[in-house]
Amino acid sequence: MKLKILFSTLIAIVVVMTSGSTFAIETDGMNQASESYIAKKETLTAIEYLQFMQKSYKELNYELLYLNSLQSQVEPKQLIHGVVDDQEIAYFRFLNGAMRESLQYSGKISYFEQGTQAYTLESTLNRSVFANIANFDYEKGQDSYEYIILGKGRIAGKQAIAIRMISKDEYRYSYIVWLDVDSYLPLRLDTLNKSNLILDQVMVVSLLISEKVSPWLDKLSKQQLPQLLNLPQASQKEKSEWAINWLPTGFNVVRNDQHKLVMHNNEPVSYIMLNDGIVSVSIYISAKKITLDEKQKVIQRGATVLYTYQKGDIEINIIGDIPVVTAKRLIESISKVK
Amino acid sequence: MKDNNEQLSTLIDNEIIDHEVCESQLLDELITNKRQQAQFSRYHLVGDVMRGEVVDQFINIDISQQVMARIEKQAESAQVVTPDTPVYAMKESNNIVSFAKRFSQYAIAASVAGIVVLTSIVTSQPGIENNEPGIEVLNTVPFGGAVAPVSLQASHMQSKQAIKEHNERLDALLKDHQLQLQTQP
Amino acid sequence: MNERDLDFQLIQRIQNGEQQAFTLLVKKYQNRVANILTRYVRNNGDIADVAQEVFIKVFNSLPSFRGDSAFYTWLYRITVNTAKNYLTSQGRRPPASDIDAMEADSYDGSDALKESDDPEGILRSQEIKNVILDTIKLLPVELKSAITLRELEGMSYEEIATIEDCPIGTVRSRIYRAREAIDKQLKPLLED
Repeated sequence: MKLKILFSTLIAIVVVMTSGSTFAIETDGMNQASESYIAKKETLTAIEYLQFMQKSYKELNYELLYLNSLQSQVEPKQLIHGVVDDQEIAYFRFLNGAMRESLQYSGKISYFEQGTQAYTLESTLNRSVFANIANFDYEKGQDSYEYIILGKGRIAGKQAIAIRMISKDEYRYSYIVWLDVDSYLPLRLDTLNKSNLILDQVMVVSLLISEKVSPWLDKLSKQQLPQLLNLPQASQKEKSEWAINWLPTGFNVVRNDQHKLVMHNNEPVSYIMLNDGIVSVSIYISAKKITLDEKQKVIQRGATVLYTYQKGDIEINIIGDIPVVTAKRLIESISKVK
Repeated sequence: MKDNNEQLSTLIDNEIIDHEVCESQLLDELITNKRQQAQFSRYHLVGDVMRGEVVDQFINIDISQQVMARIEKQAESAQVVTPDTPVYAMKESNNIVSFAKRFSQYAIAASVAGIVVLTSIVTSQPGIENNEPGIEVLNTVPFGGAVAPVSLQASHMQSKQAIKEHNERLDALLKDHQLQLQTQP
Repeated sequence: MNERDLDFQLIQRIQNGEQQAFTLLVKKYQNRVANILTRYVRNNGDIADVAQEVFIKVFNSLPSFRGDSAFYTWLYRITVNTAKNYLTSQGRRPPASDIDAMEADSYDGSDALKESDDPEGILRSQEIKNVILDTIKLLPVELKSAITLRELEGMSYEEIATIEDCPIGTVRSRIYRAREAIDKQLKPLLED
């Protein structure tokens, strides 16, 4: 009985957390059967759930149909994942509008789009929809996040469990991860700011798991890929002339170079990339081209921020899924290497 | 001869039945035989005219020869650079140029879409998390929220051209950011 | 895409290095491509050039074409994109969306003659069109009906056989006979 009360409370919390979204929590699903089901799995802690999710996301053969909601736009997408010859293979496409597809396999990712020539890049990091939470080191992540089991609900027709990753400070966003109780595959991911507003949401609407790898993936794994393109590497050996003197907990500098903007007249920029295992932040330092009316300018879309700051003849731009306050503090900490 | 044309007519309708005749043989013939190709073109022209999918100035024109000539020329110039010749520097710069052309909008669609920055109507409201004066916060619409669109030009003195240039640069930065993510170590 | 589809077979051959097969795709689709281009390219003299661009692009992108959508759909997209690039290079704004372009048929062929147009060529084209359409009018009703269902409605032989209540072999022969009857009038016109 106590257990039941506890659950109702948890569900109430979940409802509060997600109010404003169109999503309904199944409150009457607490029948005998599912209660005993939870009892069976009750031994799992939040972090164990998350770690099982990582394993499933990498090892299972599955197909996800999901919606990506950003502000008022909803974009339906498809991901087919499998394992061929002990290697992960992932096929992704947009379901509406022009054909836009990608294929990631054996250290390469290829992009196909109607009307433009397809190309391939070297990329070892999984780029699929839940990859950031599936690659995260949750053990280490305890320095920056707290993991809490929120409660149960139903997503894409599956029993799901919600786990909240709460940021321990104001410098990163928090997340709610919903997992399929049976397979542990992720079913929904909400990105929340500190006022608990949902900034970005990915929601699975259909999940199919199969014993064998999809024949389509099997066929694709044997397909010849489009031409491999190399990024301009020339200047990447040189470090940027700038240093970041403050980093939020868990973040590391993963790139530090000078390169050219191939999409913008090969303009040279100093570049630093930060990463905490979930999000990556790009910092560009360059000569000021146009003086803005304001010294600082912020553009936000969903969880992503683009922060522009001008000082003297220097312009700094920060791009990444971080709160404005983090971008601001990062900029304040930048100094020229003597 | 007549039989042959009937097969051609069936072939263009995708109605050749396997056991009847070997389709690949028909194709072999069609690819090499100019007379059959002319027939093929005329059969298609009939359909195009019936559907009204023709342009008066174009009916008489056949661009296939020019196209094939250009393809052959292109293949020849591509063969000049064989993988074995040590011209890496040149190859890389070619690669970069073509990359800038090929890098598609789609690749960045997953994150901040460049279009948001480039559209002239930008929604504006006080920052959700940051209300400090002097910081202009654009487009901070929370999930499902809505604000009235305000023109960026209308609220500021900045010249249209400067804003356009600045936005183009931001767009390039967003694309570069996406590119860095894609090739992250 | 159907394995039996002619486009599919041609593309497979091209992907396997048999470049010549591309001639047939150009011959098959050039009129349709030109027709799409008229919605964007107002200067008729440029249509042949832009159409060439389209087919070169198609050829270069073929290695990545996997056939999970119809070839024509894909070709259509490339045509529209090429046309838009052309407009941009001419300093003109492309129509706001494809839908606009599709509905913009109003200024299709109805535009008044421009100086650059070749009146003789147009007369000849009119003649070609008239010969085709007039011959169809005079065809025996079962031939007319078979070729119309095929070309205008895009029906398969099997579907036509059901509608006309006759064997598939008959449909095949009727369509061929209709085409031959038209071709008899058309061929001399194109050959001189």
